[in-house]
Amino acid sequence: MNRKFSDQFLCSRMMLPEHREGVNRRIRKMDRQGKYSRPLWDEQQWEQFQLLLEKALAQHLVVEITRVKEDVHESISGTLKKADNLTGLIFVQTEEEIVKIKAEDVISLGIIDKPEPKTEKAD
Amino acid sequence: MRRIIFLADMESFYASVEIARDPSLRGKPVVVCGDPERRRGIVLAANREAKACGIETAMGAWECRSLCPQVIFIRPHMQDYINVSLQMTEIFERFTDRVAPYSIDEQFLDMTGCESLFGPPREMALRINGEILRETGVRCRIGIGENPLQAKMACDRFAKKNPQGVFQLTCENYAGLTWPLPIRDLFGVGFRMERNLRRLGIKTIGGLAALPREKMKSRWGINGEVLWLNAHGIDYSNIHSRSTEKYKGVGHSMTLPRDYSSKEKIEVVLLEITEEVCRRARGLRKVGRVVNLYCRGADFDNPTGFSRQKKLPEPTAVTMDIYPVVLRLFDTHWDRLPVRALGVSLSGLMEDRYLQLSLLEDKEKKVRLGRAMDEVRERFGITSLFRASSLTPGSQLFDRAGKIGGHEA
Repeated sequence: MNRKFSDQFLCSRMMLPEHREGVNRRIRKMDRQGKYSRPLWDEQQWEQFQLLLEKALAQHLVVEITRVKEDVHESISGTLKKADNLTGLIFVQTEEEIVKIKAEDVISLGIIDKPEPKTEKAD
Repeated sequence: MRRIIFLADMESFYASVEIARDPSLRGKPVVVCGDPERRRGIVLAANREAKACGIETAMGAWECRSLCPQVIFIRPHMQDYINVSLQMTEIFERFTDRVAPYSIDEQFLDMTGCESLFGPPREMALRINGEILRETGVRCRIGIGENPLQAKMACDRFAKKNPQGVFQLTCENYAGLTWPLPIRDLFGVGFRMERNLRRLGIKTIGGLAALPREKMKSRWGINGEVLWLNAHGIDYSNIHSRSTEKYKGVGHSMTLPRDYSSKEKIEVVLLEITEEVCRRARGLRKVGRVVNLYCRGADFDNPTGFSRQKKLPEPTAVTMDIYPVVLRLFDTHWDRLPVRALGVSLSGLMEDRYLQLSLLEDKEKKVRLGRAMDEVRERFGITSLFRASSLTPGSQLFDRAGKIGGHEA
């Protein structure tokens, strides 16, 4: 079928370039959000995270946390320093700094390594 | 399955947005109007109270004052209108993911399959109207149809005239309701086509529908056939929510602040328009193959002018490759009468990844130069880097800088 039969409204559309760019920017934003959307967690999954956090805290284990930040997935690895139930914040000591992570931004959590054994100074 | 298509149209959009921003204007005759000192001093939108005094869109500011001395003039705020339009798209997307803006104040919605969620079409439309009014303060009218054409006709011809602002056309009632209407009321019929059809003795939509399809086809080709289908309420269009991402062409046009008769001045404006078209094409990383020049004469009562195009030997988005073609088109077709409006567009777009190399000129250098100029303008503004001709009297560059659609941003 000739395009004219199916495109009469596309051909006659009157949009300012600035409006069109705004619409396209929204589409791109939605695409990103769709790609990096937050999953809906099952309660058991949350309990699993909780257990892993407790274990990592108690044993000073290295964890890898993936979080959503500004529509982008970011992976952080380090030793778990603190998990505050009241504020919902998790503190992870990476090689450079202590990173503060909101529990609601976490989309995956895993223990990746045991801590390096502390070398005791020989007398 | 029968499709359910909505066309949502905002009542006196610019004026309604202004009133929502400043509720003290409610109940008073309000007109959004460009700079009265210039030709842009025409009515862009008038609210109901202003229209009741006889004010119409596109009327001159001075005329408004004589019709309605207490009228309140407001200068346009184009960026605000764009933002409200985008906000409306967001509201519509709560109901369906198939939303396609048609203009700043009209959007198509494909509501097929949403009946179990929101009820029958009329109910859905009333609910959408309610949400738009509550959240933006703008009154929305919705035409409902089984295709975009029926929705558009339902909106323009019926929904705008009824108090609820909702009207439904179907394949069954389309002929009965639209065929008695004058031919000009059919979507796609402008004043020239109306004149042509009237010469054939066709005065109503029903008159056109009664003609054999073949006759319309043989006389006006595919355009005639589309009109015949429109008269029968048949339309094969789809709602493409991502259609704004596809660019078939890039164009820019402007109405001059006064009529230009001098060739030199017109050429300055043509260069500025060509530069803007090429800048936009380069921004999309596209090159174009077909240049179109549009020119409208100054005599409003006796419309003159032309629209002509030329195919380029190879696709480009370099201003100084396209400008000579624009000049040639202008020189060939201009009737030497004063000019009111000018426009240039570049179509036949394709990705700019490929470049035909030449022995005689360094094309890559020209492309790089264009991009460098665009970057400077993007960072420091459109008037930070310009051609010397823009300092001559005909130039519109400084006047248009920072404006949207020729009006205050």
